[in-house]
Amino acid sequence: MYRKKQNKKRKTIFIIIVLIICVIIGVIVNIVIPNRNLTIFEKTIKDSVLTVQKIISFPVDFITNKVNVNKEKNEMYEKYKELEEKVKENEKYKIENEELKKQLEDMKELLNINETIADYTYVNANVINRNIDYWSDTITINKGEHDGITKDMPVVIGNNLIGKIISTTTFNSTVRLITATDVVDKISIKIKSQDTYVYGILNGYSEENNTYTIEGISQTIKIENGSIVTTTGMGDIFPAGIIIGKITGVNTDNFDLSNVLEMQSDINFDNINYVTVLRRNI
Amino acid sequence: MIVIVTMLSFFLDGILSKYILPNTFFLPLFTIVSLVIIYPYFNNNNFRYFKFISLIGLLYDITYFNTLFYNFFIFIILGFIIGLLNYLLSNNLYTNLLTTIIIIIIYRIILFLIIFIFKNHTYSLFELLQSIYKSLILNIIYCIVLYILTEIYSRKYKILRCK
Repeated sequence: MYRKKQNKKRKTIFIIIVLIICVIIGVIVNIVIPNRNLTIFEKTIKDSVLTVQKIISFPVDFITNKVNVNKEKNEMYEKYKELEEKVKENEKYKIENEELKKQLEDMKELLNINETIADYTYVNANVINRNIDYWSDTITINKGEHDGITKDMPVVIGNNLIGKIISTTTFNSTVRLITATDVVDKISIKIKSQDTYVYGILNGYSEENNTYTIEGISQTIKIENGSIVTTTGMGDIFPAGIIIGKITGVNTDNFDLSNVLEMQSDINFDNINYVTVLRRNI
Repeated sequence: MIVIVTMLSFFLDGILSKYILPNTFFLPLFTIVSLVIIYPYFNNNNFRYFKFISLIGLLYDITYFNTLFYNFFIFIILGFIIGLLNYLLSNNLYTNLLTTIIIIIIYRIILFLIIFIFKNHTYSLFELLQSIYKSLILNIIYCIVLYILTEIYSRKYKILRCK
């Protein structure tokens, strides 16, 4: 009887010790090193589970795609007319583009700029799932290390920035959206104001108004609503020239010293199905 | 049956997250609902139950959160509360619904507290409330469906469960 009690006590102490160790490891892994790389063990498990999920969700995806294709078919004629007009315009842009490419190469050499958006390869990917955790804005995509995706690569829709890769496995990657309020790296941006560019920092997202805040812009500079906000290329993560959004409001800070701008993105972050990862050409 | 119910809920969580918009009132937490439903089928073998839910927590961590021992720990806390509620209340549809509601509220509060304390973010209590009520409707419906299905299945195949 006494031995049985002793054994039970030992078992309880053992479980408590294991739990405490797990909590300490959990805290270290999640809080002290939030941007860690996944281990081979984690990558293998994640890939296997997500492969099973892809198989299970295949019928649902198939039906959803069919419905979307039918919807698009109905709008086909209008789109065709629009595209015909655009093709005519494209001829003009092609010639301009060739000229600009040459100029860009010369400028890069002169200014010693390493990367622009032209130095990237586009890798298209499907969204497998969205964040289950309410507090972090992440999506999982079906392209990983096997497709040359690595951590910190920018992710766009069209030419609009939506986030960056935060972790990769062999066949999948996780993207942190720029709507996430826990983005550790602030994004350096530039706004076209008349003929010059004004530089600032993207400093937060308000879910309530669906707007971003831009800070660090002098009050003496006049910025109009509708001005386009793009990345500057500083900071080694996002290349220059990716559109982030448009200015929707200009306010001043609490001390009346600098402008605080409101910006809105053209992307509907609630409904993301396909994305493009910008892979660096090495 | 336990494994089927849990894995189905686990995969549904991932699949539905793609189709259900984050700003709607239907946020799925099916894996957590399944923890409530499967408890009676362990027939008071708590050690086996905790081993099972900690494994699910670890899988949840790796697949959906990119973390380690985060949901693992939260799931064990939830397991203790489910065990306590099952000890205090008899097991039927209404008590299962009550347990599900309590567990979802506690899960959201724990996540909120961890983010608030360790990650230094300025989320308001209103946002916490929002996250709770947005998660309730769909999960209550899922709890009812899952309870009825497991009841039918356990009666048909005479699977024992504690009342």
